[in-house]
Amino acid sequence: MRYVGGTAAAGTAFLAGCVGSDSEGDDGTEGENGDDDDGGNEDQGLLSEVEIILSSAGADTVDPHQSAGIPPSSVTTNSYEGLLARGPTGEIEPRLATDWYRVEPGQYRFELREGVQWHEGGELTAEDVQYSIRRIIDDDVDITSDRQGHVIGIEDVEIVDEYTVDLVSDGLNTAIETSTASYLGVVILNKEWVEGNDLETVNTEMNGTGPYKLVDFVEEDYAVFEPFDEYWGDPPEFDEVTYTGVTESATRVNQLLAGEVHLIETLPPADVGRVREESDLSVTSRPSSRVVHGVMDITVEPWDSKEFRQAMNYAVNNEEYIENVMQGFGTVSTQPALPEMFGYNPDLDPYPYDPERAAELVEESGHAGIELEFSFGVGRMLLDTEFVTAVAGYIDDLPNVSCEVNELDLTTFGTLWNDQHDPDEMDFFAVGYGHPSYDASQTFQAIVLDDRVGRFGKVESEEKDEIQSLIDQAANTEDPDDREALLQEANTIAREEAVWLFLHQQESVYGINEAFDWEPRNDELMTTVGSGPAE
Amino acid sequence: MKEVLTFLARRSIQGIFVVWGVITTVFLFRVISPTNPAQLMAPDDASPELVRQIEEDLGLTEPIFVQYVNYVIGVVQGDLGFSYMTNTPVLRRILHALPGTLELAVAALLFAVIVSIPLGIFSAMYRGTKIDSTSNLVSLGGVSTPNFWLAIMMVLFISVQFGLLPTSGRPIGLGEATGLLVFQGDFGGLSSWVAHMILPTIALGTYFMALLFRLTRNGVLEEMGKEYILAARGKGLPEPLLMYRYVLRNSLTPVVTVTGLQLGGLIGGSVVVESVFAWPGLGTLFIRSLNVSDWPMMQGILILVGAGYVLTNIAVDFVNAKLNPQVDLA
Amino acid sequence: MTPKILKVRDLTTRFFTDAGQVNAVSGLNFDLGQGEVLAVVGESGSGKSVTGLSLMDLIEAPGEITDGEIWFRSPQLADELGGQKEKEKEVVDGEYVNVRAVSPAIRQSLCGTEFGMIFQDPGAAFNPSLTVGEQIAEAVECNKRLDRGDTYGLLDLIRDILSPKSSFVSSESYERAIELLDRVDIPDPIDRVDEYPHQFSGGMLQRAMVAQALASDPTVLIADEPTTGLDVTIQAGIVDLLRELRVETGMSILIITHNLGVVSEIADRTAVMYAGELFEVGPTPQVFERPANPYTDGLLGSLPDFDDPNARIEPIPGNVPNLLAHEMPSGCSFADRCPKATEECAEINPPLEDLTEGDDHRVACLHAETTRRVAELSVESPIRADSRVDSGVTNE
Repeated sequence: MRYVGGTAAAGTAFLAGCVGSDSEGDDGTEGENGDDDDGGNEDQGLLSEVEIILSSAGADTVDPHQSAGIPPSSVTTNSYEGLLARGPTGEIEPRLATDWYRVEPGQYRFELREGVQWHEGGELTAEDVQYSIRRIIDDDVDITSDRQGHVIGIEDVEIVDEYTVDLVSDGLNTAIETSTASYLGVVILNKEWVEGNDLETVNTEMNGTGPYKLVDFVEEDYAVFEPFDEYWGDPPEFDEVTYTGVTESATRVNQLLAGEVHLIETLPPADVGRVREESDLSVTSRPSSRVVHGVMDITVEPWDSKEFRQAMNYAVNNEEYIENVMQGFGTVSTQPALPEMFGYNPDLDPYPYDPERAAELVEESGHAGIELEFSFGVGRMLLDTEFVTAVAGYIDDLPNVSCEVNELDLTTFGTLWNDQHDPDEMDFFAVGYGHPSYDASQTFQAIVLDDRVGRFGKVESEEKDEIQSLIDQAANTEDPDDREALLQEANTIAREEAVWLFLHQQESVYGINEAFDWEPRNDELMTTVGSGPAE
Repeated sequence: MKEVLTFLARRSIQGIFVVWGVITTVFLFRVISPTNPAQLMAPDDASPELVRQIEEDLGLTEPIFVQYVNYVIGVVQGDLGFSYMTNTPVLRRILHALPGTLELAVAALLFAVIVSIPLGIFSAMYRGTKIDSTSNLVSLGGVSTPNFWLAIMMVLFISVQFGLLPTSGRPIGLGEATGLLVFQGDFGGLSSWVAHMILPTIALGTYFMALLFRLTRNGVLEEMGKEYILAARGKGLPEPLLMYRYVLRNSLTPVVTVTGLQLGGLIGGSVVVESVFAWPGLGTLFIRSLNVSDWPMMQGILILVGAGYVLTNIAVDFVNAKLNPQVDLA
Repeated sequence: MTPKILKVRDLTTRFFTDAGQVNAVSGLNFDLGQGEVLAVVGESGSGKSVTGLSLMDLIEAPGEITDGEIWFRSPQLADELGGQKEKEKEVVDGEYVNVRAVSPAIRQSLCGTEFGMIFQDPGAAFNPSLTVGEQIAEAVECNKRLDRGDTYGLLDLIRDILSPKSSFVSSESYERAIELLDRVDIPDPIDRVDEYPHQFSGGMLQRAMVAQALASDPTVLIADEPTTGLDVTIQAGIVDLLRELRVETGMSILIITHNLGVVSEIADRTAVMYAGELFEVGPTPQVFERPANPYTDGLLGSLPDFDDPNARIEPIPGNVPNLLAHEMPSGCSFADRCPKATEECAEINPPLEDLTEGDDHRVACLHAETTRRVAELSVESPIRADSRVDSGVTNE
């Protein structure tokens, strides 16, 4: 019954000859919001049906273990829950587990909430938890999960009793809370249901424990939820929640302006003004977990030279391009970790903009006169063409380096980066990496020490070993302060080594109808859990 | 009747060869494409072993000829394979996207035909008058207006500024809407469907309408100069009958041909219009699968579009043969 | 003498083109007798076909019949119209009705039922997408409906299109079409009636054209180049057919042709046209044997002589003038090609006048022995005296 939602109401209003003032209501006050929205909330003045627009194609599957992307997770977290969860700013909250503690190094216990109902009946048990975690970490259980990289160090799950499980690790495994709280980590499915259905059903239907249950879903298109009455927590506040994927940004903005939808992802900075002008709409943003940086293929010249890598960092005026090109929707990066992460070193400053120093360093590195190509895949990062062009421009401005932009489509970019990497084709490129784990060690593992193409960890060096040992030590340190100090030290070294061309932390920008009380999250997740109608 | 059956049989066989050609070409494109589907399907941090495992599962390690034969056999049996991205059957996705595209294509076509043909006749009959020059100007505008621009402008003014029609989306299909009306007496579905159809239809149909207008007008003008029109007037044939049976019928051949070919193209979906209106159709699906190198999906869509072209071509030839007895079906 | 069925007076048809006004037909005067065959001859572009179309009221924009009267003998219609006081001399004159002055509806009805037309190119005059039978049946049907005074509007059309049972053509009309095809000697008319024009040969199609023209049982048949493009034996067949029909139905035939052989075979009288004007009209034997106009003379001389294949063909020097009004000479339009032309010819456009000898033989030429001229010569007209004086003065 998706048509009953906001968009349909806007249409029928016209057919009934009723011309609404909609977004042009210049005298519109807060109280009139209802007029601009769908029929569902006019009676009581509160929003009852909410429509959320994702900027990607939408969820390609609703099996959380078969995707590690943010858009599918935004959809699935309405129905599926983990043992723990993160609040909007990253604080850990209980979900299916009520208590969690380390029994001994290598054994971490979760006490499960009792009486949690599955959407299709039955109660949550320890068996479901065991099965779900094994489904992720063990290739032999059902599928090869996309989430293995997000669930670190867990070797197995032991059932203590019906409502208690132990997660077993090889060592201390300090990342266990992170893995169980991340929406990309452990998400609990119903064992019986998954085993009793074919993969296609699991891909397109959901049987979760969350506040909303799925009523209609078409992959890469839309998903419709209705409240689950037997939810264990606070009762869901909306009668209907719809997610639709709309890739065309102008279309998303128009939908919001016309009052058809309540929340849109990735509001283009150019449209920020138009949305702000509307009395019932607002713009909201939050630094995301996405760190945008330049990868320099350390296996080839000139990137094997630390001086040259530093020179690139001195050459770019981050503050200027963020202000002018990104319209302020970004924060200068100082180190691999983000400010929200555990292990972030607040004492580090960004590389200053110093083109003279940069030119000197280029001379020192012996690569003066080199011609560079700065590549990127179009469409993944906010204002990518714009900022990449700006960055390449700064480098090109150096007297002894020239730099051109190499714009690639995402497929070509992905192929060049992955299995068919050839440094002659691409050795210097911008990527945005989002990792909502809130722990710097994961960032280091994934995008600094990783032996993936072009990463710092690809080439053996003293500094690599140094960082690696700091991270390893941190993983086996129980005391948070000591751990933090170790990770901060790793960040200091990474900055000095210029493991990346440090660019910026991207901000997520949303357009929102003020009738919808929703807070943007650091992890970019667009879940309705914890949100409700305004007033 | 026998003639018709022979025609259909012969054209169907030709059509099968064309579609087979499409299948082969598309398959070859996949083979020479540098992207590795297994890599795309695998998680970002997948090990090389895992990628190889996926390759094996997909049958990509088989010799190309074997892959080709398997694929063709699959297609013949109605199995277009599984999407690399979503692991769901391609056919199901296509069937889901097809109604949206078809409804839009047919609506745009109807809009174009209903507006353009009477206008074309009228314009030709009153050649050189203000009606004619105005229609000509409008059609020139229609032909030269890019449909994405028209779409964006209409959305801005009609939907955003005045809130008269929804900006985008297709929350309900015609089938479902009709079902609601018939079984539950609910008009809401149908009115929602209509409301969502109007702007995309105009955006997609305007160029086409202008094109058909010009074809009709020129065709009618040409016909009106024919001697048999004079002869028919001379025998006292009433004007409406003359316009219909003599002028319009004979000037329809190019109109039918262009209409058919355009419909064939529209089955592939108008990527731009679908994109602006967030229309869940084949065009959107195709672009999406193109971006992620989802070859089974692309293959499926291209085969369908190829088949659509073949069918509309047969239909066009058939209608033209009916309109013009000098064209022999055999 | 047979009564006249048609009296054409001052018929003038102009075309208003981008290049200027074209005087296609200028001030035509002639009569057509009951059951008579009148041939209109002339070179291409002399206005013959336009004359035919003007009589059928088939002149279309940018053309227009700007002047003239076409009096058609129809005692019945004259009676009906004469009863209305408004109608004066210009509409009704005795048994004659002026086709140009009646209402469009009556005119259409007259042209559709009383006048039939055979078009120059039967291949182009049949609609290629309808069967020959359908088209003839349509003509039969139209005639019936016009007789009944039925109208046929857009709604009737929509009804006929939508309802499979309803159709413009009735089955009786269809039967009649078969009869007509049979009448014009088309073999297997029952089979051929359902064939399309492209399945007919040229001669067959011309016969079908005749059948279509007969569908309304016309009083006047206008045959525009009925034999052009057909080979000689088939030409003869068509001419025989027309001759038979004339005897059988008593209709009058206006045959437009440039084939003088056909004229001599069929025509009672011959009218010679040049540059939109009538140059000579008279009984065919007289016109052929004693042409009074130098143009007629030239026209006859330009033809191969069938009796004497060795005789010289003498084409008329020069070209037919184009008929643009602003380029037309003020005097006789043939003057610049005429062997007898004098200065006078370039100034005075001669009217059509009775020739002294013979019956009903009229000519437009200053050099012809017209009755007026003979009279003038005997009286010593002042004009001629003046001109003589003038020339004397200039000679001095």
